[in-house]
Amino acid sequence: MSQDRWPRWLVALDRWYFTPAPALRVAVLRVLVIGFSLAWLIGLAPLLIANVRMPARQFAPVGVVSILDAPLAAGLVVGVWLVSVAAGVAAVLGWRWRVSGPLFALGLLWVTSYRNSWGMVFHSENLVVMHALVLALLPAADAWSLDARRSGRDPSAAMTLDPRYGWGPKLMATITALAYVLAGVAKLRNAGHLWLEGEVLLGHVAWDNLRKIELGAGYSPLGAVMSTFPIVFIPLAWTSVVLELGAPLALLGRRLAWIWAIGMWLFHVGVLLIMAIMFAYPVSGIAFAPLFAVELPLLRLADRIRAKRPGSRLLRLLPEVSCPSA
Amino acid sequence: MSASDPSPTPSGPRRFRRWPAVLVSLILVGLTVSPALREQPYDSFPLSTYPMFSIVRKISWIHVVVGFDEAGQEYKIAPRYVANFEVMQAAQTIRREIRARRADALCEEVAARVATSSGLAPVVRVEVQSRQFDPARYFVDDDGRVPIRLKRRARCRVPREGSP
Repeated sequence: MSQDRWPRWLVALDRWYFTPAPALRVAVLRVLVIGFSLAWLIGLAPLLIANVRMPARQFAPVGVVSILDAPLAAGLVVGVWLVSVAAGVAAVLGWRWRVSGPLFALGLLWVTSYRNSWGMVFHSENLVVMHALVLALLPAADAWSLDARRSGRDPSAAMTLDPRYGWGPKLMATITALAYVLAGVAKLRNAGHLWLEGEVLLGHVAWDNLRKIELGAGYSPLGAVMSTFPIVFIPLAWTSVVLELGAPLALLGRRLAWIWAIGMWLFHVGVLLIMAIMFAYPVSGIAFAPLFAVELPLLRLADRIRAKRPGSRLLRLLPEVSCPSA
Repeated sequence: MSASDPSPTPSGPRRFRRWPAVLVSLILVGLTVSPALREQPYDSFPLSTYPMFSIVRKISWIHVVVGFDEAGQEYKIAPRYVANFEVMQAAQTIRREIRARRADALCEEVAARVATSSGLAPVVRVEVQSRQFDPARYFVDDDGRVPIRLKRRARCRVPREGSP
């Protein structure tokens, strides 16, 4: 069917989803998301080693690891991790992206699924894995990459607007918003109105901190003190559900995206402060990056360095184009 | 600019077709929401219903592994002796082992690890316990830190050289 015959809502959706964007935006997302995942993967090494020592009876495979009946041999676990890290280094640099991007995303999916396959499903890596999988399908090394440099492409084309670079960040942002909506729905589905009365959240904060104390681990003294003031948890419970269920609003425009992302970031900082639970991806801010024109701060930085220190070696690492507003 | 127009992108004048992007998007969005659409929502990885913090907790059991010296003084056993250094992993490991009636096996594994720790040298005995607290009282008064109920699930000696 020709686009002329599409209903209005579909035309509007198409225009929104395929908003032309520069190649550099997807490239910056590649560096941010893959860079974060790579650091996370390297940071996971001590945990993976510890998990290798765990008894096979505690193995409870989830996700893609469900194809296994028993844990892998230690050498294989380390081997997959090493290949994933090597692919991640190549992917961040945008070297042989068509291979390194998907290889890294699949490696990350496998390693994080494996680490979640010991009876405890954490929820700190879901979003970054989904974002890495989306990126692997995108032309994320068409700019600011070794691939782009090797092909001798005109650096100024990195800022040419094209719909092929617009839908990926939109999909990543949509998945982010949906993840938060699901979390909000789970609260209302499992706890209902009790969640909005604050008692469920109070119970979680108190219970989580007392469990940490009883298990001999670090806890949040702030959370412990707050547990003695139940009234504080009523506005916190409301705020969390409003932010989570309101996540799709962030897709409607930059201003709403800023308001929501700051709110959600503060929510995660709050969780860190009162429960000592770190959701590193959103706390880093990178989880919200697909909502924004992330290439602009980088270009401004490059312009500033170019103006102040034209001979700086740092410029060789930054995009060669200038910021459009400059 | 029409979707299929060749454009001067860094990739060169390749045609961009929308349908593969739409298909991939629909699949990934569908997968993301799929756990919540089931009759019995399920938690997996990386697809999840994100159920953390949503369960209604009342007075519930906490499962712990603790050590004791000869005088009966209690020692906290850090999560890394139970599973790894993640407290949630340790908590879940103890819970699963108790439910599967394998508390004895867990106790002996932890005791073997404690035996190699100089920091826990005074510990001669390890216990797997279930403790019940009232979260609403735990941080409010000192009595709240005393378990309302306690169940010993397993007890074992730390295997040190020279010990019986």
